[in-house]
Amino acid sequence: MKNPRIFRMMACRFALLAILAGCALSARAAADGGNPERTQKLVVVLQSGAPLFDKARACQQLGEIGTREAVPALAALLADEHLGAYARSGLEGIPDPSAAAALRAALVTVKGSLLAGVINSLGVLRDSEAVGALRPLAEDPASGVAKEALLALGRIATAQSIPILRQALVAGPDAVRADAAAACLLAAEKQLADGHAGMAVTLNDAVRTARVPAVYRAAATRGAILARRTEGVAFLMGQLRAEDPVVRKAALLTIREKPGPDLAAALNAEVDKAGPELELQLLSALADCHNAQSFDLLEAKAAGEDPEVRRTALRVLAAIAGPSQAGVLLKVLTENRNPAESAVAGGSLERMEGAAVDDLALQALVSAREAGARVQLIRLLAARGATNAVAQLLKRAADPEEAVSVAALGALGTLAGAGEVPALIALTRACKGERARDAAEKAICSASAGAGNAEAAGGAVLAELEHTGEPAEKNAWVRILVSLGYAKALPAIEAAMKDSDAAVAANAIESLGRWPDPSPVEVLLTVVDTSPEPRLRQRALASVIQLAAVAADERQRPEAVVARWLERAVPAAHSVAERRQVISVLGRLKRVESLRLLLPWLDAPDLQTEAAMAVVQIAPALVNSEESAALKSALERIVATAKNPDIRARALKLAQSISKPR
Amino acid sequence: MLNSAGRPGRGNSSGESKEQMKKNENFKGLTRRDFLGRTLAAGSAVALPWFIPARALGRAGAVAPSERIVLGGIGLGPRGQYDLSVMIPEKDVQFVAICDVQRSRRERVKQMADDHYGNRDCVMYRDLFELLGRPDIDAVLIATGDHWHALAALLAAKAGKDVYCEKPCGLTIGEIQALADGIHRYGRVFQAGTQRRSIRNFQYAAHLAWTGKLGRLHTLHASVYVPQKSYAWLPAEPEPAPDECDWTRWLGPAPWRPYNSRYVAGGWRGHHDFEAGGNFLDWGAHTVDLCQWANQADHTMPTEYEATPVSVIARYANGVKLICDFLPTPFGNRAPQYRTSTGTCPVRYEGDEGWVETGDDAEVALSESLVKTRKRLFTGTGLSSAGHGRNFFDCVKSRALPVCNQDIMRRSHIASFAAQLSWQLGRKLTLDPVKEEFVGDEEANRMRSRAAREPWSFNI
Repeated sequence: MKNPRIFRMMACRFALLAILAGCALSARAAADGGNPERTQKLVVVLQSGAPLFDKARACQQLGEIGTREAVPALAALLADEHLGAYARSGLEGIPDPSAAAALRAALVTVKGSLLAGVINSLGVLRDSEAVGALRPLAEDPASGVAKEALLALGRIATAQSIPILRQALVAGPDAVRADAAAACLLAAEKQLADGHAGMAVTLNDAVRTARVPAVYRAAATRGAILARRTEGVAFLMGQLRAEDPVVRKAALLTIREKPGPDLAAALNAEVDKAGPELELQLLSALADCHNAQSFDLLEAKAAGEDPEVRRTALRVLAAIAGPSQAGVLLKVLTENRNPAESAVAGGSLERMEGAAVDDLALQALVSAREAGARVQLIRLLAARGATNAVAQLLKRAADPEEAVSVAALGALGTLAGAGEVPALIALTRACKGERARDAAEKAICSASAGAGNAEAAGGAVLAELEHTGEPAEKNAWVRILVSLGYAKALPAIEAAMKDSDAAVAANAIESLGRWPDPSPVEVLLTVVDTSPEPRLRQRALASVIQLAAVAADERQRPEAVVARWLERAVPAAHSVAERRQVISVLGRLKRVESLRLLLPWLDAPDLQTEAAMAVVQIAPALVNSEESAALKSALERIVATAKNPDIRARALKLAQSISKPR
Repeated sequence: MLNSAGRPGRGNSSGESKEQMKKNENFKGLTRRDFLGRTLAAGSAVALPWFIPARALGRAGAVAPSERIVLGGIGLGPRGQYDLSVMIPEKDVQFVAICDVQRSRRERVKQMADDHYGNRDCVMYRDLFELLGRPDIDAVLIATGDHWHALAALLAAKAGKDVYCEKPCGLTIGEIQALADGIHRYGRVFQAGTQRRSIRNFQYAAHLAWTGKLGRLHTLHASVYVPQKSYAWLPAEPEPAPDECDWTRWLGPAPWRPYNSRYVAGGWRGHHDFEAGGNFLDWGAHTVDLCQWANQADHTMPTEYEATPVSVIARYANGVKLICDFLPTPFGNRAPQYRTSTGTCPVRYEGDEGWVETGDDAEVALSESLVKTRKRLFTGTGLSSAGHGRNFFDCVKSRALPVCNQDIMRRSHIASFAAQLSWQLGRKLTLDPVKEEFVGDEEANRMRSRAAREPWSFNI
């Protein structure tokens, strides 16, 4: 070069341009997800003698980060029996025209199912340049890939591919017509998505009227409705009147995909013109598409004479109702109607949002005359969590109608708080019937839940227990105190165990079985050991077992302590049921004491299986204990005699794990 | 949690593990009618009042007799057999055929059906097209490995069958989209096997969230397994005879790899080519779905996803957070993220006035500030799918939308996949919930789909 300075300038400019080009290249690669450096390494793998797995993984990774530089290496694998699909995965992922070009090129080099795969990939890529090559394959059933080609053309959905599909649909051989229909449906969806509703309508209409299986005609009916957009309403209504039930049903089902005020108005107008079958279906469809007038229509139909129409309208109304319809539904709930219809109305009211609905329901309760209606309303208020109803419910809890008072007390169990406990105690005292008392007890327990509340309520209920002489009342207070777990009441409850009234004593003993911790066990065991009354001994035993079970499960006491309780209880367990309950708890105590207690029962026919199961459960913890020999012997007995194969198998494995004593 | 007697709830003492699938439907005080009535508000349309027989819906050939739904099964392994065990007692369902590529499973399911009906009528198939080609079959139960779910469901829909499909319903976002579109296109009834929406304690928890009892909802917790992914191939073993196990059909749309018996015995889990999202969607398909539901977000998805070492944090456009907590021991102690006592698949919903947490053991944990009593509300468990199956069958008859229909499934699955991808890529992702594309991240977009192995295709 004659001028070194100019040379240096140009060299610098070239270098700068190269740098800028490199940056642009990197920027473009990053934007399309490509990583040139990794691509290069993966291409080397593909072109080497690497194992199949490495090449497969390379193909997959190229699909995720490959650049156009990988296309030739991937293309070379399209004919590979095992790697062809991997290669297509790579090519489908690379957003460069060369990937589709490689697939197009493979249309003439691969065969059989590999060719089908290549065609499928062209469809995935919606490669419009492949239309020309796909056409002969689509038009010739003997190509063996006509179906794939048609469906790919359907995915491509261009002005060039669509005529091929339409031709196959109307004039193609029977063998491909169904596939042509499916392809037309795919093309129609793409056209609609791209804003070409007119072509979507044309394609769907073509399938609707073609000689193809009903599933495609139904799909095309749906497609034709959706593609028509605003004109679809009139079209849809026309399809509802079609002779063909496939078309009618497809139209009905499409309503939910095309709701709008015009369609709602059209449906409202159609209901009264329709025959019985369609009337019911149209009413149902209003659930998906309705307007303000639809509610008036449904309310009228829900009050009609025809039971099927009434039920359908009510069900729809219940599903879509808002607070404005609460009054109508309350009327249905409280009138003396079919219980199923009341339930539908009640369910809707339960779900309805808004305090205004609570107020309406409460007003209805205040003015309700019939006991049945009051019960329904009370249950509704409870289900709605309407705490504004508590005062009214306290009044209704004293209703002379037992059903009403029981319902009210039940509702108070949900709605009442600590402030209502004194009133509930008074109600409990006043209760005549067992159902009402039971409901009142539960209400007190629920209202008292929470640490501070339980303490205050417990004190008030204990005072009642200490002052009443009435057996039924005593029993109620005992049950409540146990439910609250009010520790200060324990002496009084233990005293009740010795009450001269047998029912009071039995109730106290039974209730203590539900005490939240094992504190009462000793006093219950004393009853087991010493009570002259067999019934009381039995109840005490049941309570001891219950407390022992919980103590074992929740580690309220050491297992050794629980085992000692059961050891004392066992002699009193006479019936099979009682012994099975004991065994059940022994099976949770991984102690030699448990094993010793279980051993005799391995030979008892009625208890064998349960005892064997319990031994097998505790055995793993005892294999190295001082009783390992006895354990092994027991396990071997179980292997020999147990009916359950799973128990036998477990016992055998455990027995084999116990090494012989040296 | 205290039970109604004031005691904490506890498992049974017979040694049965909690993970075992139970059929206990002893929900205190609630009937199935209550479930259906109360879930009506969850988004499904009210029923059309009668059964539309097979012929009327375009399945050429026989009409199902009277009101009975004729059911076929595809790929019923342990989970599918459990599903069938709770479906087959339904009086208005007749199970007539099983398709499975493994002979032992075909025979076991046939035995189940024949024992139930007291005959030998259940037909076995190896080729699902033969089963789908039967005009008498109205619906199919699909419980294959994950990699077959979407395609089998699509083929069934195209054949005019309604579909109950186990979750996850597809292997990628692309498959989920194709499936949901296909169900719409062919007007089928579709129920995803995310059965917890049909279970009382989960319904109760969601209801608390919907009705403002928790105040303004701000955080949802969805438990998932610690994600993991394997690309490795197990050692090659000789392929069995096709009638014994048709490996080519077993693979289906998944790319080829050599046979190993562990795959077909359930060891496909965790493998990238066979399990959705590694194992992220095994629970995620349930728990993310439940959180979507509680947030009343079935029409949308979170827009942002960011992985941490212990979770993926997603955010909805309205600011509500969805945290997918990774649980290292899903069946053991789950503290501090969740209360172990609530059981597997726990979810937790937090608002500014309270929170609720529940799981498969049916315990419902509530904040003290929220309610008066923390008592165990249910005696049933959250595992039974019987009500979910019943919902499906009712919708097959009425053509209503099931509680986990294709649109609900679509969004909860895509949200789960988005969360998993943010973990896999180790970076924040932004999702356009309308276009269902990642914004400004083409690598993530590329991972939304994979090629199906020939001759299988989602172009249908």
